[in-house]
Amino acid sequence: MVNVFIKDLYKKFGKTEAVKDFNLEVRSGEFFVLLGPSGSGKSTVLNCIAGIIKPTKGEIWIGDKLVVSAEKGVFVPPQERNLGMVFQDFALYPHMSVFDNITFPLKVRKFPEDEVRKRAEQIAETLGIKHLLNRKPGQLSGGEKQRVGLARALIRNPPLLLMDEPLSNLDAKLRVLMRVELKKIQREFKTTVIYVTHDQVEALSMGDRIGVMSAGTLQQVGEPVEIYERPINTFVAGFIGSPPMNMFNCISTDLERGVLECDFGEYKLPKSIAEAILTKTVKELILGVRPEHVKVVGKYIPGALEAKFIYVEKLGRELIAHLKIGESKITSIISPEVHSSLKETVWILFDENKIHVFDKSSGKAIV
Amino acid sequence: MLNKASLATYIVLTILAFTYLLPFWSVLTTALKSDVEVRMTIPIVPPSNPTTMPLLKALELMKQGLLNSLLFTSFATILSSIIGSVNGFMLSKVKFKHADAVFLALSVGIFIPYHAVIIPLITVTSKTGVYNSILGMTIVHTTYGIPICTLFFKNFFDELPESILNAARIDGASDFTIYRRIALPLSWPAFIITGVFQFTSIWNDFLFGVVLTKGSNQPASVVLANLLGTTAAEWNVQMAGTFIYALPVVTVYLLLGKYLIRGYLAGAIKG
Amino acid sequence: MEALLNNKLFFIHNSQSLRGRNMGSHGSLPLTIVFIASLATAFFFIYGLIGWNVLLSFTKSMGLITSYELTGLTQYVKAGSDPVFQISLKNNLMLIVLFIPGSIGLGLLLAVLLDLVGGRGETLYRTIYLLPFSLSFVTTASMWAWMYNYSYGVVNTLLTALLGRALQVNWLGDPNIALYSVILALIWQFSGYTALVFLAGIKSIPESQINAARIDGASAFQLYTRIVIPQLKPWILSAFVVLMVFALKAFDFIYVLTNGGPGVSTYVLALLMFRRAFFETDFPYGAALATILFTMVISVVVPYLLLSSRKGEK
Repeated sequence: MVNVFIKDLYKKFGKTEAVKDFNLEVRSGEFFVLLGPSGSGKSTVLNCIAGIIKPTKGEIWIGDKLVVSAEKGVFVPPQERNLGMVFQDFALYPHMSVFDNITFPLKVRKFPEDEVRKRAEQIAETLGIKHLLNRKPGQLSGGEKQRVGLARALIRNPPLLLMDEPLSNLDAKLRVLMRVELKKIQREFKTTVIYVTHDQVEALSMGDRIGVMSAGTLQQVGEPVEIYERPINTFVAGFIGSPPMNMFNCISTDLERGVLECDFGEYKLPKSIAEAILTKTVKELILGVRPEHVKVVGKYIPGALEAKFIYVEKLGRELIAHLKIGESKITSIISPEVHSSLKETVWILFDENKIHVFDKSSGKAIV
Repeated sequence: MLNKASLATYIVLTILAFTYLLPFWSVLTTALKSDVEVRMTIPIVPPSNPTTMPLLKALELMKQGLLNSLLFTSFATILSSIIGSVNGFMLSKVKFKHADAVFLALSVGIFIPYHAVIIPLITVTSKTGVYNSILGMTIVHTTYGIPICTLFFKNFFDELPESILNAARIDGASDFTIYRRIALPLSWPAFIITGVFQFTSIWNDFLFGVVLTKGSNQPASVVLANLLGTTAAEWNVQMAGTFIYALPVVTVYLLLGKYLIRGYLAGAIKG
Repeated sequence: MEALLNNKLFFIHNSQSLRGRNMGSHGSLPLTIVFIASLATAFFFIYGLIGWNVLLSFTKSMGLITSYELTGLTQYVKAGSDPVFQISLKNNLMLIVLFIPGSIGLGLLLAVLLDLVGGRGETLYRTIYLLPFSLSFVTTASMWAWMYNYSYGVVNTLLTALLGRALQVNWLGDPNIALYSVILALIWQFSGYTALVFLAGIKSIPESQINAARIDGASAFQLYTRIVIPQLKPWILSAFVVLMVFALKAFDFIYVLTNGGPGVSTYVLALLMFRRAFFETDFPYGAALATILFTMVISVVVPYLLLSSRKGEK
């Protein structure tokens, strides 16, 4: 297990800035997820850590070893960084057997034959691929290929394991199973993991901590709960959570009393939030509330807003309701029982403790 | 692949490059030397007083041959390309049974040594009156070019998505319309590849020329070969002739090389 | 030959009627005509004439008059006792054994070096190495006639310059060396092609595999020898077939450079066929030699084409 320290990482491809102002410390033994949409720079960061790409500026430390520094002219090639890496397309060597694939990292370093055999059998046992050792990659299923890739990455017990969207090419059910598997493996092998994905469900379920990236910069780093409940800006708020957070443009018309004029009409903020905004003197805001915090009732309650059903997605144990309030739309999660008791016109309340307010111009969270 | 090639790699590549270019250098220096100088100096040394005399002399000796080659090479290239596009289209897009067998039988034709047909070919060309003529060379080169031209276009049309043609069929287009208005315009890269490949192959041919033509109907390749045989002493004229004869092909290679390369690889892509 | 023509007609008739059934009124007459006519012509000029040539090889040699008097395998027996025939076969074999591995080996080396360099360097050097392959054999034979010239040629003058004293080799005049001179020149001409093919093969390997190997700890040497080159087998096979066919049917280059000499030391089968058929006007014997040549080429090409068409279907 080893920690990773990235300082002021900056990478430019031609005219495009792929990664900028990137600073991060990944703690020893943690399962760190780097999350972001495609093009956010997350794979670039991973490839810099691996040594596949050279950063334009910045430094990366693995443990107490400086592996790359553009300014100091240091570059340790990937061969010498002592890491394991798992790839989205598995990257197995098609002309070699599973056994040869797995043991390649050892053979390349001239390990003695009996040691090689021993380790191969051990790791094949752990990953449940012992029966596949003589086969070739072309004969394996996606899940089996992924395990072989893992075995190859782990056979030298690397202190750092990198994973680049390893589950993307697996079918949905397998993905769910593998999520649990991967965490188990990490604990068993006691290795630090940096895991790149665009799937926020994967991130939330697997990460000890998550780093959310967008357009080359790190937006927020924190534990899953923190990212979910206290997003630092509108990007993180909108990217995490499915269905996504409802967001409305608002203008504060009466700062003192916390009254906002929003897309859907007038809304009065709860006292605590109103007080917080007062000190910030912002006029244009974005109001955010997650679908599960939008309560739908059949009768008017003071403070509620009138709404109409547009359509409902029936997901079995819950429903995602799409409603119209004023000129805007809002989503809410409701149970089937509640839904059956409602008519077409309903009333909506926001859970006052779960409202998010963002400054419209900067996107940053105020509350 | 790896981020930085070592200096050693560049050194080796450069030394090899010079070795590969030596024959060209030797041709160039020799072709520009006067009769006196060519007997006094070695080819590595460039001419002290470059002269175009050898080039002009060679041109004079070869001009009929060059014209002949130009004529039948151009005609045969155009004809075989067009035929190849029709055949490639038929084999690839118009579904009929045994298309694969036909294509396989045709592909064998790409590899056959022409020695196996050259004797009967004399009889066929004489009996039909095209022996020792530009027309004869055109017909022969067009015919033997059909397999490779068909291959190029078939490969190209195989890459064309079936959905485009289906859309056209649903719109009511006949095969000919599809060929003329969709396949043909889209296949311009295949035309360039085929054209460039055929032009260089036919221009470079020697066997058909030396067997099927005589005297003033001979292609430039045969004229040059004869030049080498007879005027043994005048190397500058010979090298000038070599230069002139190679020039069209080298020009095509330098300008349209990437298409030529696609042609070379078409046979090599596994399977 | 009659049988062959009949087969073809039957074949064409079949595909034509099947086509009629498939296409209904939306087929195209002009396209079909061009297709059938060109195929018929091509098949006649290829298979038809080959068959005719085989027939000719079973006839009696009568000088300029072709008699079509059948004599069984006389011409083939003649080949067996023709000493130049044996020399030619031996030389073709030398080509196979030296020219093919030489071109493949050099091509692999060049491909790896080119891949290491990448970018514009790769394009520049590749253009240089491939240039000879685009040239006519008449051109290259002429170039090498001058290169190998005893007194003035670049090869001898360079050797003298590099090794200090006059180390002049009679490249084209010494019967013991001439064939090797030919082979060397041919490797020069073909190695750009093999390099091109292998480079394409190298590029077809996914980037992620290369990255995985580097992370696994492979040095550049291990990367190329254990991961890249083993996966080039289909490409090497394809280059091999092309080189093999050439090694068997080589004619133009040798005719222009040495014409089989000095003596008969550089004779090859195709050149012998040419000489016997056209210089000594023994057409049936020439036809027999051509048939032997054709058979050898076919026995390499057909299995390869069948193999690759089946692989393509997978």
